[in-house]
Amino acid sequence: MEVGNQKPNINVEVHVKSHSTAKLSDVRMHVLALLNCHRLIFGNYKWTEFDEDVLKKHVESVAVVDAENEPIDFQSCSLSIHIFTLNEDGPSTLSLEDDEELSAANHWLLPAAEFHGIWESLVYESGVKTQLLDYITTTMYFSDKNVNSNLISWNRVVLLHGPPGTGKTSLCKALAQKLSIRLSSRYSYGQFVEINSHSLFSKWFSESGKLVTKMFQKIQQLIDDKDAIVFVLIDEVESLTAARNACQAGTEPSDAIRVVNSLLTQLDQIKRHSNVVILTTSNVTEKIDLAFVDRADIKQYIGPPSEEGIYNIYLSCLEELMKCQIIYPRQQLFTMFELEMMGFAESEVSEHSLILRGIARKSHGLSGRALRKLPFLAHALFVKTPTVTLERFLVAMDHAVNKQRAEKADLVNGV
Amino acid sequence: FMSTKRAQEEGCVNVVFPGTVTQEGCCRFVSEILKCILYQRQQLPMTYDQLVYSQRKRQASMQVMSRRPVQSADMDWRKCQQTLQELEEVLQQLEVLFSLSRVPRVLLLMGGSLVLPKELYEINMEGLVLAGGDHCLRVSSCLRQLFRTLFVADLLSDSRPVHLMPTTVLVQAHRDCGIGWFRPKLQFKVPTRVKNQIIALSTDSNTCKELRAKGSDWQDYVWFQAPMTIKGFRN
Repeated sequence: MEVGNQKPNINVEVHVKSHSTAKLSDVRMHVLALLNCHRLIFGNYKWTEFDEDVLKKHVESVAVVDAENEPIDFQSCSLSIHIFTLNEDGPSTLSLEDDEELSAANHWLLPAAEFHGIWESLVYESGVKTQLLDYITTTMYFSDKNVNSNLISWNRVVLLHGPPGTGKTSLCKALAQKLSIRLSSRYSYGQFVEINSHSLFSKWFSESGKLVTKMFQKIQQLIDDKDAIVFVLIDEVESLTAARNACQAGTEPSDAIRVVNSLLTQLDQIKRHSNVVILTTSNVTEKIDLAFVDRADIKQYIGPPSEEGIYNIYLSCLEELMKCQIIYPRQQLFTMFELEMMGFAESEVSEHSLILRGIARKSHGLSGRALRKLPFLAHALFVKTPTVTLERFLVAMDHAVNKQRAEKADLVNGV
Repeated sequence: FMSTKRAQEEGCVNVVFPGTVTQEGCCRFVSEILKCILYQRQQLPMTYDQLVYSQRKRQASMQVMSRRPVQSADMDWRKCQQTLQELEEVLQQLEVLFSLSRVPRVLLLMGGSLVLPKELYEINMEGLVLAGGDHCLRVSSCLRQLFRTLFVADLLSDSRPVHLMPTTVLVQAHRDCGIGWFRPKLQFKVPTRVKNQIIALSTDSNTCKELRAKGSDWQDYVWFQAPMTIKGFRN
């Protein structure tokens, strides 16, 4: 970084079309020209239509991202322009045994088309996402500068924990995607490896430890490519580490203990490399092995969404339904931020938004997964016509929320 | 002539043609090498031409017979049909590509992923001098020389059984050639963690004094990836 570079940094993500063969330097030049035409914008902004031919031909979108909700003057900011294309190939599998179709891990090239849009779809308390991003960017920066981790303790193991259905796994994928775009000038490849922890327990007694070692040998091969940044996701780590406790209690064969021990040692091995980020998720925090929790530096609780979060989730769902013309005709809905600016004043234009806010308030306590399902349920159970007006759909959503809450109450009473 | 052992260790076979070749000739070389590698690396149970022949015969006999063939044979037949269709499509598109751009390099990635394939083969044609039809070597005699060298070098044989794995074709072509079927992969870099077996085709500099391409001429050549993989099959 230059000395005296104190200007606020603005991130601009440029999504280049997958069939484009334009030189990155050309794209960059045209994007800068576009930004120059717009002196001042307010918060995040995304361009998807362009007047200029080169941009029209090669660029899908230009987006100012992860900015505060305040005016941005491009002249007084330093711009980081991240240019990327999505990889459209699906996941490939890392198989361990040559003679067995045992796939121990799924493997994506980042940025992947499959992960596109997840980041935007996840809504959390203010700052959770950007904080995580900043955390990891800083660790990458520290490792780039060779900061001695014995003096200042930091590592690249992230643990996301919280109740089920809050999008922890999705957040891991989104984070990896985001970082691979952000760090594209530093690493030319991003790779995402999702480990199927259950496949590590071999059907052959005493072979499990070996499987873990083999898998990490494969991952090590990926890490050896210093041009690549490698994200390793271990979902639901508690299932692994719980095994060790069960083992000590004598309810599980001692083979399981070897899996966990060898996993922990291997993690210690690979986390030394500066181009690795280890992402883990857990539904419960108490049950995880202390030895593991201790290894994670960045621990983040991911709770159920707040009222504002719920509102924004619903908003994005309704926008999608209007885009697909299932809700027709299109009507204006405000963001929570805009509603706040208007002081939640009732008027003809804010009527629908305020009804939606009421529904969001009522939905508090439902998981993120349930919330994203709700518009579907509303349509299936209470709409029953191909197209529907926004008014009628909001009524249907209200019914659906009531039904969900009743079902949830039944489940709780049942236990 | 490189000795067999050396060729295997270094993973490189040089085929030096005693004259210029045509662009269509290059396309044929690539097609034939692709078919050969798929067969030699046990992704096809017979050579491509044998398969096409037996498939045609089968089709003709099926039209005569009204009875439906037994289930398992039916499955085999469909798998074979699918592989042949995939391969045929790739071959056709290669022809289109060669008509639009010079192709200095072709990669065949087998198994694993784009970054870490199980096997990697490169056809390098940077050293070929191309010319128009009349003064060029005949394609058939070039192919004879090519395959003689390949078999002597024994680059492709392996006594161990090889597993079925998808084959991805990557080609280097001019960035503005306008090919639509192949997808640009501007960020792609040739994997270095796996042994790259190179078949390098070139024109003898003694017999041919014509201008040959310099390294800087390839600056605007970028990687393109076939949008589908060829999945082999077994009987």
